[in-house]
Amino acid sequence: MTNMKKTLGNILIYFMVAIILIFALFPLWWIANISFKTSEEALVIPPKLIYEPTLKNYKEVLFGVEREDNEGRWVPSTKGFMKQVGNSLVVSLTATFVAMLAGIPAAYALSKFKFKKKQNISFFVLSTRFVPPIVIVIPLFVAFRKLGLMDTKLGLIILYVFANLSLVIWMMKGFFDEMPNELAESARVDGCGQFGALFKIAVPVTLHGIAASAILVMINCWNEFLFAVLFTAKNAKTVTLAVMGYVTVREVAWSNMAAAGILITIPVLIFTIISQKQLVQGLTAGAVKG
Amino acid sequence: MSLSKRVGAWLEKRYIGCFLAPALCIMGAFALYITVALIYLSLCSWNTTSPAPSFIGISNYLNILKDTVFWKSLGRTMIFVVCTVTGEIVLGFIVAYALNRKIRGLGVIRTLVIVPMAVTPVVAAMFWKIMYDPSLGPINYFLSLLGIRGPEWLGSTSTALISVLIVNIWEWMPFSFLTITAGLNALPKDAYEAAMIDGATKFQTLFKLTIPMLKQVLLTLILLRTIDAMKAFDLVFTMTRGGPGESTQLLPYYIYLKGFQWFDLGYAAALSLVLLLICNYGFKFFINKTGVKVFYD
Repeated sequence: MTNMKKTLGNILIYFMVAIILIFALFPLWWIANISFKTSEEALVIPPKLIYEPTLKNYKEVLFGVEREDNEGRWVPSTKGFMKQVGNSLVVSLTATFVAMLAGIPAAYALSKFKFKKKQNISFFVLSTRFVPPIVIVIPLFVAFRKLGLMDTKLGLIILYVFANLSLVIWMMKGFFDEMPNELAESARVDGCGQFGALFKIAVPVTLHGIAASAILVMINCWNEFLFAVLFTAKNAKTVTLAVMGYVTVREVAWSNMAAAGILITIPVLIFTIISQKQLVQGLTAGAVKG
Repeated sequence: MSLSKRVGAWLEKRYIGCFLAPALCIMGAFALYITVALIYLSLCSWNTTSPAPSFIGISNYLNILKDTVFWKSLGRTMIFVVCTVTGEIVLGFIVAYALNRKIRGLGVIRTLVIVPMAVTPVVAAMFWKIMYDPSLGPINYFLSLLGIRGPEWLGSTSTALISVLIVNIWEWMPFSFLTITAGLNALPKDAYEAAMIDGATKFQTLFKLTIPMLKQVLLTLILLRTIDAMKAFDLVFTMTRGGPGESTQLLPYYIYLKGFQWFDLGYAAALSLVLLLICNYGFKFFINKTGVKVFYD
């Protein structure tokens, strides 16, 4: 009797898990299929479940589409996907580096030392995370136009450093809290100053946390859309705008869009899976251990 | 003593200041500029009829009070936030709870569950646009195989907001799942043994033991996810542009419309400041009221 109950319970759980997995993965499976279909087959209803997969969409996204111009010559026309990937890489890596460089010492100080106004400073850092990005867009729009930062990578980097700095401090403080205080103190006894204790002891000890924070900031920058759409026009466009580029007034190039979307997602997917445990611990600032 | 050494010693004495200065200078400068600029601009008329900001006092704020579109957007934003946070956490909890046992292929299943979280939000929005398409999308196709005539999804004022909500829940349920799984793993085993000896049912154990013990984890999740849901812009912009009608127009999108489609920058600045205050005081209130241990002890 109890055995049957247990089997029944297990079946129920597997059934539930199956439904959840379908909900989570079906859209991605469907789009992945579209990305391997020709644009004629892509959205046919009833859908072709068996088809000859093609890499044409990926080639077109990566290397541009060849098409006839007005005089009948074939010209390669690139939608600039590679350039946008390059922009995103430059902006994400630089912003992450600067945010880590400024954020790690601040997190260390907030975690390990007692000083006046510490609570106020902590709360200020935390409260900048409350702010929806749309709120800062109008003042920054005014400033960027005055300073000539519109449509520049530098402008985006500045925005992304500010947008992610409190996240870095928040995550890294959690990781430094985990580190035993004696470690840093023993380094000081050995003649390292406070700077030495931070860079020679604390940083190496929390390397996994630093990696997780850096990965998360990079993902944030890579995925960012609001600033990218409002503050870039041509030169500094990033990958999130590349996907939107396949939507024109005349038509939506669904199969190209699907291929571009998959290409953009793959690096994020790999990093998320690698660092899932540290991400939880970091994002909840140590409230939950991964 | 050489100069560089003396500078080094001087810095070493002021180490706390040195550690904090770079981050606080960047954040402080931004915060100060943004606050001052928002307050100034919100007191100005700056739109297509007056191309330079001109001081008009508090009339932007008076107009906000009378602006029914604002109030509706605010209400819609609240509905969106409550529904998506509840949906994400309840679903995440169910999945975490169901998978919190030894079953075959657990590692693979866990990894597969978190995949949606890794999809760039704008990309996810475009993917779901295909899913939802009434004539070309798979959802209504499969519903039609079952003899059901599917709704218009994003195309109808009655289902558009729910459709956007589903995508947001789809994307962020994995985060709740990951966090709650970690929380469940950290729970002390002996409490459960005691409950078993006392003959508590599974139901009692769940509501009297597991959920109360997860309180901090759940509160942290609610806070983090609410902060994020208040920012919702990408999905609305890519999927519906606030439409059809105003049915998916959330407050961030309304600010965008006012500022960058209608170029009423003074009014948009006033709206921004209102949203900023709502978030700042709302979250402060939540933290103080619930005693959730975030960041500062």
